[in-house]
This record gives sequence, structure tokens and C-alpha cells, in this order.
Amino acid sequence: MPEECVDLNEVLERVQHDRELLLELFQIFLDDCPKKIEALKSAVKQADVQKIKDIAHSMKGASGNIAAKKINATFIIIEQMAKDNKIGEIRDKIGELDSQLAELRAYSKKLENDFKA
Amino acid sequence: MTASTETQSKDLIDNLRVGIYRITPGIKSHFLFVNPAFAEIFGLKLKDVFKKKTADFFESIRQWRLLNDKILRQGNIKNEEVISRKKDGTAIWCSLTVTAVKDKQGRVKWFDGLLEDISTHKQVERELLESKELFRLVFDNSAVAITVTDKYEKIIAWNPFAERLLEMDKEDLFNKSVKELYPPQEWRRIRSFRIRRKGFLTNIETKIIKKDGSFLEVNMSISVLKDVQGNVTGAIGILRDITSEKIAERKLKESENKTRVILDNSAAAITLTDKDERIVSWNRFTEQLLGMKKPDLYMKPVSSLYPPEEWKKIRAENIRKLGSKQHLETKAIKKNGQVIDIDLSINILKDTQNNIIGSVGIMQDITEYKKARQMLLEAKVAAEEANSAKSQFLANMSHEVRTPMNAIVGMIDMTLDTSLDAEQKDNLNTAKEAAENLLNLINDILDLSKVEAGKITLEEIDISVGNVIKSICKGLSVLARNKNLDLLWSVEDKVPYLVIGDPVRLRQIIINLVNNAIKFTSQGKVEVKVKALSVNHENCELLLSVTDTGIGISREKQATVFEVFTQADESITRRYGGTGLGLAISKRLVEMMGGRIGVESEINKGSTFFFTANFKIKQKNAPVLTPIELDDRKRLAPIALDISKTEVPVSSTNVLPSLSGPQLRVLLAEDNLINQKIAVKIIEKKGWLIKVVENGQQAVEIIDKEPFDVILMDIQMPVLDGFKATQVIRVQEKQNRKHIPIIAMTAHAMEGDEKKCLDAGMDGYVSKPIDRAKLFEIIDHLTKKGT
Repeated sequence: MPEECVDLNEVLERVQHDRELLLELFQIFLDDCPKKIEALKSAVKQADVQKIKDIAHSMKGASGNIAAKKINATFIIIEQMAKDNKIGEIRDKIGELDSQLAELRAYSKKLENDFKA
Repeated sequence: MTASTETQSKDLIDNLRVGIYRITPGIKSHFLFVNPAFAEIFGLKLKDVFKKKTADFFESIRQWRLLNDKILRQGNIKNEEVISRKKDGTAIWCSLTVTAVKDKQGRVKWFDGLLEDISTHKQVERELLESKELFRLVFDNSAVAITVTDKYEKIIAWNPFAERLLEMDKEDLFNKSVKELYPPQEWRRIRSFRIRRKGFLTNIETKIIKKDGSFLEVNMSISVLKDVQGNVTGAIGILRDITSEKIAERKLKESENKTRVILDNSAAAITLTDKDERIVSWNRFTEQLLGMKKPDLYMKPVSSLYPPEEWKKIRAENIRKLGSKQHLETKAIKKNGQVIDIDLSINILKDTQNNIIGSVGIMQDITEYKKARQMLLEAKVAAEEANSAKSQFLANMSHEVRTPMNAIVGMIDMTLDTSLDAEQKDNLNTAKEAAENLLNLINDILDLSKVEAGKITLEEIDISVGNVIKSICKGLSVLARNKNLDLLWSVEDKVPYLVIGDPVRLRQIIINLVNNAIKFTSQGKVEVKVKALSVNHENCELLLSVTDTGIGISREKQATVFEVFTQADESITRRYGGTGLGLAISKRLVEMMGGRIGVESEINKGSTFFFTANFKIKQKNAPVLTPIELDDRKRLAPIALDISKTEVPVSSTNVLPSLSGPQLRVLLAEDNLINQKIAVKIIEKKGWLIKVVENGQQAVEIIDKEPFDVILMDIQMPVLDGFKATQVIRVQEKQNRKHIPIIAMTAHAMEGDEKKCLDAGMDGYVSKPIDRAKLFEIIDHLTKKGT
């Protein structure tokens, strides 16, 4: 069984079982994250380490708050790579985010249906 | 005598079947002549007789001497009965007729005798005597009354028991006409049996009249006596007293009747079956319930009362082996084919040898009951669904409902801080009070809904119960002071310093109880106490109580105060306000903590509300958070508080006003929308006010315009980051402002991050993702610190 991309118990607890808020947060994240990925990519192109660090840090916090574990782990690594100046590896790591984001989108959709049911 | 005569005499003597003999008289008498019959009687040969003396044939010589003397004296004896013995020793009865023959001189020459064996006669005679005696014994000693009547139906004989039974004596009975013994009706009935023709009649139950005129119940048998020609000569009657039997029988019948009445009037169908499961008996209700009559029931297989598949189920219960089965829910078929729901109980009947002889079945119609039960069940499910939907809805609505209310209260507050005239201020204060009341009600309803919707889970974090109580008492001391009440608290030494539990919920319960106590007390004091009921290495059970000297609650009302929407008195709602939900919520929360809540109260003396709660014990007594010491804030005057002391009065005069309840105003500086929303959710849920800005610069600007109790500061923000913003704020504070606690919120999870925050002038630190409990603990700690 593949690992769930979200620790639902953790995030539900954080939003105190406010399901609508949870779905709203997912939606905000799903809307925002692609923009941040684009920003990351352009920062990588310009080798702007500080900007990479900032974006990764911000997204680390946001993804952590919604308990999106896989995405969170990716941003933690990207932030660390930026700190370590490993820009070349960051590009590959960013590539993983697209599929993880798609997984989260599907998860959010499914959750929305589950809550309606 | 001629020769022929002599011959004939000899023949005669030889052939006679009686013994004829001639013996000499005297003691030494011997035989002169015997005939063959004599020898034969004794089993002897003729010649052997002559070898014997006469005395040898007697039991003793004395016996012979007496007889000899009697013959000599009388000259003869006739039919003298003596006992002798045969050769083989058998005793025989002999009848002797002897004549003494004399010579001319008158001397006795010899005795001529005739001997007859009368043993058989004797036997018969004795037997007859014995049987007569036996009959007499039976007759006299029978425990039944026996009367003998002659052919004229007059009593001629009776036994002693008859006298006893009839309480009559000889004069009463002798020659009494037997018909006078019976009541006329009975006598006519007896006559109608035509006993004379039949010859006998047995076991007639009738009545007889005793001497005193009272009746006696008897069982009677009559035998008619007839002579050889068949003429009736009389009758024998045998009477047995059956009065006591009759009484017993009547009682049995009465009891059977009673049972019958009970059975017939019971509203259950009761059927009795034989060992072959055929119906043999039933009560009236059976006919009513099943719409059946005798032909439908009698000797019918009991299985015919049930639908075949139900009968299979009943058989499967193995009741014959178990002996009984109570309250089996099954079905029965009425005569018209209608199937009804029944409750069936069966008991197997056994004889003394434990053989099954049948069974008793009791069936009750539960059709209506089942219908009602089904309806109730449906109604219950519907009600539960409705309630759950309501709770679900309210719980989900909480955010939407609370946010505008918070905004209203916040806006009123802010407007109140602007310059207003007296009337405007007064209006706004009224509006604020109303809005706060509404917010409280909404909070309570939402809280209760969440509890009911199962949406509340208890936190498990380190808490100091003493500190929780201290901070509550400090917060509420304003209210107490306004009413001139003493607010006291004490914590027993045994209570562990740190336990693991949910501080928010614990606070909620205690605040509710203390608030109530203050509300319902007009003079005296309110006391909060914590005691340890049990403490071991891992767990403790604490007893927390809040005692007031207020109006008290009547005994009847005490039972309902913990119910939803119940206050002790409806008039109280009008006079004291409140949502009436606080205790209901507290009760549910206490139950979630594995405790119970209760109240002891006396009208006009006061109330003690108490609750127990179970906590795990923190193993190392080290606080998790190390918040920075901060200066005493001006709005809270410093007073010495030490939870290790007991009975520390929080005199309300020592606490300055302006802190209107524990509601805090929180500033959040955070650029990420998701983190904003979550923080807002958490703070608003708490019932506090929150203002959001997107960067450090905005934070610096807004605290110049609005008051805040605490700032939650993200570190990495555009324009001005958290470190820099904090530095600016601290510099400004030194010039013209009070110290605002700043708590860093950051996803920096590296060692040293905390130190960096504190170095920058922040008071505390929480990491992202936000841990709600830790956040509240540190806010709680920082806003109460030093007071």
C-alpha cells in the first residue's frame, strides 16, 4: 500500500476538525504551490540561493501545517540543499514536486467527496 | 341265644367301625376283648393290643385312675372325651362310653366299652369356633360401622364403631327402622338403586343423620342376606365416614376453581400439552387470542399453533432437554390464518421419575408492543440522526459563526478606545456586553455540539493544576472584587506539580464553576480546592471543588443542573443571565477525563461543586518550556502567589481592573496564507481576538495604533523579517510603550533557533507545524507571567 501523502489525523487535529477549513487550506496550497515552484525554478536558473532558501522555507512551513508529508519532506531537502549550495541537485528535486502535487490534488478531491458522503 | 345269633353278633362286632372292648377294672386293668376296629383306630395289630395295659392308652396313669374311679362310682360313663395317642404318637380325640358289669354279689367283674375316634369332629368344631371368634373380632374392632338389618329393615345387630359413628347406643339402635338413619331424599335415592334385586351395592356416597341431628358424609356398601330359597332375610350395611375426605376434596376443588379463575382471567394464553405434544387443556384467553374453540384445540398437535418455520425454531431451542425456556419471541397462527407476534414461555412437566409428561406454554401477544418498539426505534434513530446532523452542522459552522462575532466585539472595543461622548460610550458598552453575551452563548453551543458530535479530543500535555487554578483565580478576581467577595484557593501538598492532561478543557471546567460561584454569591467567599484522591507513579485522581456562600440549590434542582438548558430556576436566568450550558459542557468534559461531577448544596447557605479527573503523571518534573522572564506588566499589579501555600487569599482589592475576562488580543505577523488561516482558526477557536498582518513592517506599524496582549511572529517574512521587526518593537517599547510578549513561530527546526529568537528579544518560541497545546501553554505562561 502506498504511503498516504497527508497525515489526515494530524491536520484535522490542527484545524480542530473543521473540515471546510481543511479543504480550503488544501485549495490555497494547491493554487499557491505551482506559482512557488515556478518561482523556485527561475531562482535556480539565476542561482539565487537566498531566494531558493526563502521559498523552500516558506513552503516547508505551509506544507507542514497541512501535514502534506511528502511535499514537506521535499521542501525540507530543498531548503537544506540551498543552505549547502547544491543548486544542481535542487533542480532534480523540484521535478519530484509536480507528481507529489498531483497526488495531493487527487487526495484533496477524494477527501472532499468523502466529506460530502 | 341261638348259634346263628351268636355268629351274627360276632360279625357285627368285627365289622363295626367303632372300637369295642372289655377290660378288667382297677389301676392294673388289662384287655379281655377288643374288636379289630379298636386296634385299627390306634394303628395296632390285634394281638399287640393285648400286650398293653389299659393305662398305656392314656396320657398318664392318673388320668386312667380318675376315669376308673368315675366308672366305678357311677356304674357307667357316656361320651366321655379323652385324648389318646396312636402307635405313631399322633394325638387322637376319643369318645368313650363304658359300663361297669357286676356279678351276682355286686362286685364289678369287668368294664365293657365303646370307643369312637372323634378327632375330625373336634377339628371342625375348633375351626368353627375360631372363625366365629375371628368374625367377632373383626366385627367388633372394625373402623367402619357395620349394621345388620332383618327383612323388615329393622336394625338387629351392629358393631361398636357404628355406635361411635352415629353417636347412638343400644336403645337408639335396636329395632330402629334403618330408613330413619337417612335424610328422606337420600333414602329415596338409595331405594332407587334396587339393591334387593342386585344383591349388593358398593361405594354409595350419601349422608346419614347422627343422634344429634347433624349429618355425616359416608361411603356405604350394602349386601343383601338371602336364605336358601332366595328369600331376603336382611341386609348388612357398611358405612365409612368420609367427612374429612369430602372437606379435603372440596378444598381441592375450590383451589382448582381458583386456579381456573386465575387461568381464565389471565391475559396470556396458557396451554397444557401431553407427552406427545398434543393440546389437552387451555384457558379462556387461548381461545380469545387464537380465535379458536375446543374442536380446534383439543388433542391437536401443539405445532399446529405456529407457522412451520417458527415451530422449527422453537424445536431448535431444545426445550425438552433444558426444562424450560422463557420469553422466546416467535409467531403464532390464528384460526383465520393471521400471524401474530408472541412472547412464548415453555415449561416442561415431569413426573417424580423424571419422565416428561407434558408441557405448559404461555404465550403473550406482542404484536402491538413490537410495532411500538419498532416505531420507537425508528423515532430514536431519526432523533439521533437529527441531533447528530444538528451537532455536525453547528460544529462545522463554528468558524463562520464565531468570526463575525469576534469582529463585532473587536470593532466595538476599538471604537470604545476612540474619543466618544458619554452617550455613545454608554451605547457601545451596552452593545459590547450584549455581543459578549451572544459570543459566550455561541461558544457554549458550539462547544456542546462539538462534544456531542465527538469532535473534541483531549490534549495530553504537561500542566500544573496549581498554576491553572492560580491563573483562573487571578483572572476572575476582578469579578470577585466587584462583588466584594474573597476568592481563595488551596492545593493539597500531595497533588503532583506536573500532570499530563488538557489544560484548555480543565480551565474551561474550573472557570465555569468559579464564574457560577461568583455569580450566585452576593457576600462571603468562593473557595477553590484541589486534593489528590489517589496518587501512584503513573496516575493520579484529583478532586477539585469550588465552594461558595451563595444562594444554594434546592435538592430537587440539584438533580437537573447538569442537564442541557437547565438552570436551578428559570427566574435565575433572568436575574443572573448565563447560557445554562456551562454545567452541561463541564459534565461532558469531566466524563471525558474519566471523572464525575457533582454538587452539594443547601438553600441560602451555599453550594459546593466538585469533580474528579484522572491524569497521567509527568515522569520528570521538568517544565517543557523555558520562557523568558519578562518585566511585570503594569496592568497587573504584582502579588505574591505561591501554590505550595494553602489558603492564599486573592484579595480582589489587590488586582487592578481593565482586564475584562481572559480574552486576549493577538497579533499575527505571517505572510503565508495557509499558516495564517490555521493560526486564526486556533486563536478564534479559543475565543480570543486575532489580527493578521503580512510582514514585520506592518506589525511594527499596527502596534502603534492598537493594543495587543501578545504577538505571534513568523521569522521569515518579506519586507521586514521577524527578527528585525522584534528588534524595532523592543527599541520603541523602551521609549514609550509597555512590553508585549512576542512568540516566534517558525519552521526553523534547527538547534539554536530558539536561542536566536530569544537573543532577538522574543519571549518564546513555537515551531511549525503549530502545536496548539504548546502554543496556548506558552501564551498562557507569558501573559500571566510575573503577575
